[in-house]
Amino acid sequence: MKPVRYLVLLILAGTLALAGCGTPAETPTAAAPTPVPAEPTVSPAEPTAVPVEPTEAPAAEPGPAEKPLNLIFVQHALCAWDSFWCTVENGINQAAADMKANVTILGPDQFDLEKVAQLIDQAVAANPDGIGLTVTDPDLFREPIQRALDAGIPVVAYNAGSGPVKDNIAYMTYLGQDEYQGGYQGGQRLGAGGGTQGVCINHQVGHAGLDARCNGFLDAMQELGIPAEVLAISNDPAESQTIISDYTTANPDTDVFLTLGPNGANPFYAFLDAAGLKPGDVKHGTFDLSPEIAARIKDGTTLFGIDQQPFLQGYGAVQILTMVKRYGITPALPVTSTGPGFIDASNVDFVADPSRALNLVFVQHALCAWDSFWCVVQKGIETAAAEMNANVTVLGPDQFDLEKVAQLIDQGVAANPDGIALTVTDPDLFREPIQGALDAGIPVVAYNAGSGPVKDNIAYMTYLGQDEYAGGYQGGQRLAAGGGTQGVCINHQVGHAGLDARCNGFLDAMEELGIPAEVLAISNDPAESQTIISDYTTANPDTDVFLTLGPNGANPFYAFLDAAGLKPGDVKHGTFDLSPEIIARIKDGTTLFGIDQQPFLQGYGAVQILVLKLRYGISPAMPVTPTGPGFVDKGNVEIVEKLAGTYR
Amino acid sequence: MSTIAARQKMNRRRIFDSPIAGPLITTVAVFSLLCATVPHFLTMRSLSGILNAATLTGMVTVGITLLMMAGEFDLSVGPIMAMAAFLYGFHSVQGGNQLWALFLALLIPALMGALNGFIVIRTGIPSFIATLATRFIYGGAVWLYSAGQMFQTIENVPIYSVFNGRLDLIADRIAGANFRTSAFWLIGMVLLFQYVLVRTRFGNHVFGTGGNPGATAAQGVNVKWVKFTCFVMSGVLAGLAGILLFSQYKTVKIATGSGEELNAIAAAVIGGTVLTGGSGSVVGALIGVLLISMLRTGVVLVNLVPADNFGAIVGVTIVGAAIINNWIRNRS
Amino acid sequence: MSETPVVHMESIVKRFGTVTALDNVDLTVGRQQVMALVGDNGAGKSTLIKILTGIYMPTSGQIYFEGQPVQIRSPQEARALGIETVYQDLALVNQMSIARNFFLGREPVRQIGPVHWLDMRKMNDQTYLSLRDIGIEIRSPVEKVGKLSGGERQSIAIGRALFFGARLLILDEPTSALSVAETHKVLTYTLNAKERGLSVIFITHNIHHVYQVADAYTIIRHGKRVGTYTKAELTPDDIAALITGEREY
Repeated sequence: MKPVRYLVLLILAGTLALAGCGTPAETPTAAAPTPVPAEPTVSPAEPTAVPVEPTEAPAAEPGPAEKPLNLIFVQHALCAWDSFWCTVENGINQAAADMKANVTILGPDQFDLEKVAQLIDQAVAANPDGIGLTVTDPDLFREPIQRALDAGIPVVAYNAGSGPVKDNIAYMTYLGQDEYQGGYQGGQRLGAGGGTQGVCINHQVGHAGLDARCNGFLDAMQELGIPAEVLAISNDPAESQTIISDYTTANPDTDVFLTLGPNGANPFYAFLDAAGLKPGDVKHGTFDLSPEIAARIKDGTTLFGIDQQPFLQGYGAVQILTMVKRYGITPALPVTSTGPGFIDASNVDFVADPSRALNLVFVQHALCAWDSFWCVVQKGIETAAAEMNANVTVLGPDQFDLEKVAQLIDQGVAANPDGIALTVTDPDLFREPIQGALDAGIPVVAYNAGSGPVKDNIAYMTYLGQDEYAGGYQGGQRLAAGGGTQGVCINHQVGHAGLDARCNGFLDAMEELGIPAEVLAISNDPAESQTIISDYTTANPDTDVFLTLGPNGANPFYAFLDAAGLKPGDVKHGTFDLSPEIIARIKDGTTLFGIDQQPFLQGYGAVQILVLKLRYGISPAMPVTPTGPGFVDKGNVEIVEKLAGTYR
Repeated sequence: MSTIAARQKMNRRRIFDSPIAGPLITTVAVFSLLCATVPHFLTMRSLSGILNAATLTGMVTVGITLLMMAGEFDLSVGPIMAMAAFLYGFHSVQGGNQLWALFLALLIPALMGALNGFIVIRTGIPSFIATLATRFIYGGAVWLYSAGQMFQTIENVPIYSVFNGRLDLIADRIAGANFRTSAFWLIGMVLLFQYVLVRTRFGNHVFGTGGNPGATAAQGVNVKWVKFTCFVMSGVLAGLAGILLFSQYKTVKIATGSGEELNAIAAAVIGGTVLTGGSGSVVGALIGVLLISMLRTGVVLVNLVPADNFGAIVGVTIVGAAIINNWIRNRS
Repeated sequence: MSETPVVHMESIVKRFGTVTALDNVDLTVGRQQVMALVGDNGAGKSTLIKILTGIYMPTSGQIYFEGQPVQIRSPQEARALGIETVYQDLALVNQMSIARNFFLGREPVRQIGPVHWLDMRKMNDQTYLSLRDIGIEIRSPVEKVGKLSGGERQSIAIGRALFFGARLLILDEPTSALSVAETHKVLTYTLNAKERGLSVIFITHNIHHVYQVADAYTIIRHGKRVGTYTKAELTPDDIAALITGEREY
């Protein structure tokens, strides 16, 4: 027995030794994500804090952050002769400084759309890294914008426009206020404490934007069970005041009022004073701000003013262009809302303080140290912190432990930071600690996990993450754009709410296009899955539109394609997530796109939202701020590939 | 009676005596049924798909069958498979020494199997419990080694074609055929281990160890060594399965191989191996995996049940096959 | 005795903790002698035999095999000396064939490289033939042992021991579970063994069975040897009385 004993001990020692030093030989293919060498985890008791120092210069590693970008913005008005635009241009210039971009702003001397079209052409000729513009007249601007797109210059619309789909011009996204949402959210706020009857005072019926505001208000009122209608007034203040007064005489129960701007607010205030009504007698909210409105917010007559946040329109336009050029990150939706931003008694006095030093605390349910997905989020946080000169500390547990995370939130709040961002992985468990932060007046943002302040029933500002349903929906639209016979959504984990949502979006998109589609469930075993896919297509030979939900579905799908001898273009395929294989297939045309939830943007965006709030008083427009779906296709796959593992 | 006459008489009994009588009958019956009723079943694409889907589980099942014959279980084959795939992948890309990658991907699983055997023999803990524990331990080791990342490559390393390359000779001639070299490896291993089992001294010891370890030990056989060797074999074959997996799909993640242990045990039982040990067949194991694979293809082609509820069908097959096998065993 | 006895166990003491299982027991078996080892359940017969077959080591005492002092430390060593045992549970693997069982642990092989290939033909033929020589007729050497009756299995086990055994055959309660006809067969094999030159230790608590074949009796009670007698000296009743203690000598 003795020699056997020695042999067994040797084997045991060998196994332990190998388990201990488990570093892979060398980093694999450049396209593959770099496996982090196995490091022992820190002692279980302590949370891991990763302080991120703000640096004067960009981070040491070589890369996109170094190179300054040249951008050209074309507006239909200028600060020089329309003071509204001064705020916009402030936003542009501040973003340019933060993100190291050179921005040139062009505009006509007076309101002249043909002149603006010519300026767009001049901008294209200068061959900048990106163009931002106001799509004031889509039909007039379509040609010049198309020339920019043909030249490969990314284009963003701000302040005017309806989005690439509605405008039928393929720019990236439109940044502006969502008029309907403003009216809707305003109505919700006004009717929150109860109300008897509401009225939307429209000083320009027929103006699409103003009408949309009233529609939102009316829908909100209907949901709350409060009868409401639209009251049309005119541009004449005296006339308008009388109309309002007569209306309230005929409808004495009216107690909820929404005006759509200073042109509506002014005659309304005159009416209030004439009727001797005091603050609190009726509920009033309005769009836009003016000194009078600000004063009335302070004295309590008016609950809020809704700001389209022109600063954010300019700032955001610059930011989106730098994101695309440097990190290949695309905006998630065709319309990126900058408003409504609600100004109420709590922030009406806010004075912008661009150089305010900020200490932010981030609490995550996972860390880069033990889950490499979060390294990309971390990169986003660090990049934003560096650019915006903020001090960010990231806290997280050593392993997936939600109670621990709740404790860390408490600790984060106790440190009294300027702002907090966190993953709302379990809203019920985290509600109390988050409420503690809100009660202390600390603004809170959710990222990566959560459903928004309304669904989670916690009053944080907004949730940044991928909209799974939208990803499937838009994916389906892209895939079937040129037509299709039959579609299938290959789900490798039926029952996972996120994955199921992706397929639901896809199925709905297919249904709208009149293409039959269904879900095919596969397993974790690649050989098994490949056979299932193969058998399915044998039984359903007309299937030509395929959506996979991640590498676990894409990988057996590619094996099936190769086995069946299918070439790029024979069928249409899109997938969620990216991997070296998927990237290679996008390049060779087999796969039309990969959908990225853009974890970089989750981290980056969380920092940015807090900074904007704390320094400029700007609130995120929507309860849910999507960071994905971000589509990676042949157009931007090169840059994404280079950044895989770090920025993507 | 003379030995010749005796031998003739014994040959006549042999058909029903064989442990694969039951599974063979069941599989032939099911195959015929599927050919007759399911559209597109008897196509090259479907048939080659059935074989291909069976190779990975089949490889693991060979090892599990051998171990079950010796009266033990190995529930840790899943992480062993994943570990082999990671080792093989990491060391074969970017100009790494392919033979070294192959060697490591077989050596470490052998050591993992050896550790399983060591724990069972030394401590006397039932192998079901011991390998349940090592399953988690090895899973942790895989996690550490891979840093929690999926690993994937798009390189075409020559050794991949050796283990799971496309048989272009056939593929180019016959449309839809996806026969791969892994089929050769599987059949080769099945034949090798079946031969070892029924034709070598070691095989006789395995039968004895599983059938009646006390009796076998009393006859002077080192039962502990037999079991230890079977654990190592199970590990090595799981490692080979991991190599086959990575060679075809060039991708591996921590979850790779999870659930394989139960698939393999199911296939072994369907193939005629008795759970308590001492009786069974490696060829039967192959028949078992083919039967399961056949059923899965049939089910998808007929669109009978959603593919994610296929497990229910496997369950019914296990029960049905066990009943049939038992009945045939009792008849002989 | 004029000849050297096959085995002579002298003053064997075996303690398990505070329990004394054997207290200075002697056992001597002569050449070609059938020695019955009798005693009631728990008297210590099994313990004594386990010492002889190498499963236990005695606390004190000495064993002489063919006149030489030996230490028997394992069943393999006992077997190497030429001691074969047929255990009460027979030590047969039911799922295997007779031939495989017969040669289990001692398979005839052809070695090619590191692999030991079974010589199946030799296994089957030799099994059949050697059993037949002993007087055991089997239907087929590839038949599974599990299909045989209790008595048939007993025969196989004895046949195996006879085939491999050189000197001493130990039968541990061989007739306990057998029918009359089968018992008769076992007793016949026992005499057969003696004729072939082996000595036999026949352990039992059934006096009448063993009376027919035994040459001598060693009676054990409560771990002590009550006495050794030849067949001529005692009737079965005498033996019974000695076992239970009614008589002291």
